[in-house]
Amino acid sequence: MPDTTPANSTNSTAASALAAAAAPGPTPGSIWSNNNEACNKTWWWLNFLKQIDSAFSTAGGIKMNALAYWDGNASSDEQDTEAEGVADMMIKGFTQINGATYEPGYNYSSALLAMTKILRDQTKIVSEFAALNDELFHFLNE
Amino acid sequence: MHFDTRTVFSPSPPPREERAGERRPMFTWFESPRPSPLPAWAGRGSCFLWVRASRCTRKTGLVLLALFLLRGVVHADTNTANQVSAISAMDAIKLTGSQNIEDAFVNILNNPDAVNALTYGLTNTLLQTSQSNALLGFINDLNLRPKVFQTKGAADNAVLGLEYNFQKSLANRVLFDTTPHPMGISLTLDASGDVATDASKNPNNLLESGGSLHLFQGIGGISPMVRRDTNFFAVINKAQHDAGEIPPSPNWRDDPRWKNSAQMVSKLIVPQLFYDIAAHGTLESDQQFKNKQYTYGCKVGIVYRDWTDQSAFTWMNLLDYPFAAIRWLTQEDKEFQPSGRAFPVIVGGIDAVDPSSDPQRLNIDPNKSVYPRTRLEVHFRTEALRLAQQDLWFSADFRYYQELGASQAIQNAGLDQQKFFVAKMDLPYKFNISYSIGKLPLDQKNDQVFAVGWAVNF
Repeated sequence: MPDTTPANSTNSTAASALAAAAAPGPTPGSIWSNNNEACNKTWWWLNFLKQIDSAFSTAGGIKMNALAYWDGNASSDEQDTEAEGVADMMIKGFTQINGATYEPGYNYSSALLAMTKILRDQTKIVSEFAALNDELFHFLNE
Repeated sequence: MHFDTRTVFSPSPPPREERAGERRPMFTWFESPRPSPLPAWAGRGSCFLWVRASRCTRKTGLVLLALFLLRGVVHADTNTANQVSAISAMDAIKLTGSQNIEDAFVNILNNPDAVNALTYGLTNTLLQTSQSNALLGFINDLNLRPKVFQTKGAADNAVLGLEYNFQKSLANRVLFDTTPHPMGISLTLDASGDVATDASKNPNNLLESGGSLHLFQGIGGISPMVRRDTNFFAVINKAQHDAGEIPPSPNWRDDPRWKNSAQMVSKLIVPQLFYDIAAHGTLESDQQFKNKQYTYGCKVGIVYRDWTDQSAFTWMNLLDYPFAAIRWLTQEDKEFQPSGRAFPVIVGGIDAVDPSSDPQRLNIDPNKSVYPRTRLEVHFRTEALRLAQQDLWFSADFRYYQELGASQAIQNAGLDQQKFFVAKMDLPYKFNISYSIGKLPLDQKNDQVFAVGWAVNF
């Protein structure tokens, strides 16, 4: 059944998440704590997909250009496709294995585009990526 | 003050003889039809009323508008700080009364209080209503910035202008959202450019307007047979939380907490095929649409991944066999096992290319028309070995470009086809060694290059 979320509300909330996540500097309010579900799940899936190799306490400051898929020799189109594949896998992990649901106003499409934008931003770090995921998803035990 | 009014016809459709080679600007001057049964301002459907105010009128109107907005802010806003800044801004605007309109505008822009008060008034008193509507939502992503263009030469050469930037996501839809393989569709519009009251003095006389359509889907990834209930989620979430408590160490993955959580999830993972189809079209033109150019592009990206360490699908990754052998011999892997995460990424596409910035091509074929070019890109990246507690990667990238319908001169010169290959091997301590051969479309010559480099991430 097609998604019936109103386009305006979906786009406006997705845009606000993108704007906050894409803003220069640390995302306001981003924290790095294993007691935060978004932080824990983001860290876990990045390690499971072998994009990073770090225990939780030292993973928050890892930059996006240090992820395993990142390669300066590849074209931007290739890198975008790879990042989308990672984002797709993480979305499915969050929703189908961790039981997370989308926050109001977001869906698979807006979540994937927002996550890909962060993954392709070499100035962003893992904790900021987790902050975006916290915005996009409602995790259990939140 | 006075007003000049003239009747103009609707710009669509223009007479046939006026279409050749030129698009009519949106606003122009035409002779009034004879006889004119109705005044121009009566609104005859296809007639537009063009009002040109004198310079004094424009200045007065600008100042009055600013004062009106500020007055609304002062009386409507309960924030004391905003009221104070609004009052000071009103004083600054009043002082511009004796200056020409360009200087008056610049003075307003240079007064932070005035700018803040104006924008606050616009967004909180004039545009905000109790009910949002589709029009406001549509223009919400429109960013405008007033400008003054100053050109060298005569003293009176400053013109007003406006920089606009509009990016709107029209749709972010999901198909099959209740299935394990949702499909996303995204449609966006974007426009940007600078416009000036006098086009001939606009130094950035380029408008770009376009749209893009994006379609993507990930097939697989998680087994559709996953049993989903509260207890299922609780067990896995707890295991992942416990893994997060592992202290940092070189062998942290050997901790039972990580192994337990990874094994629980690995049983639920299946190979993933992700594809991404994107198309875009753009119209580039000057402010009066006298010169315009269409560009377009389309690409398809495909990535296949098997995220588990061992599965039957990984044996299909023939490119990774040499590196699987290295990992096995260096005991990075306990068994000889190609990586399912290292399947090549493939991107294909077709683009419209503007040759105006390619002097080598223009020397051979002076035709500056946009031409279509297809491309194929294959990228491979795998972990080769682990040395000095660092993962060292090997990557290779191959790109192929082919122009469609190239002229005989371009074909004879070999400019209709380009190939490029680069391979890079990481070395310890951020060093790397690379080899490249071929040329990218804008390169001037073939290169065979060995290079040793050093990379640092900022």
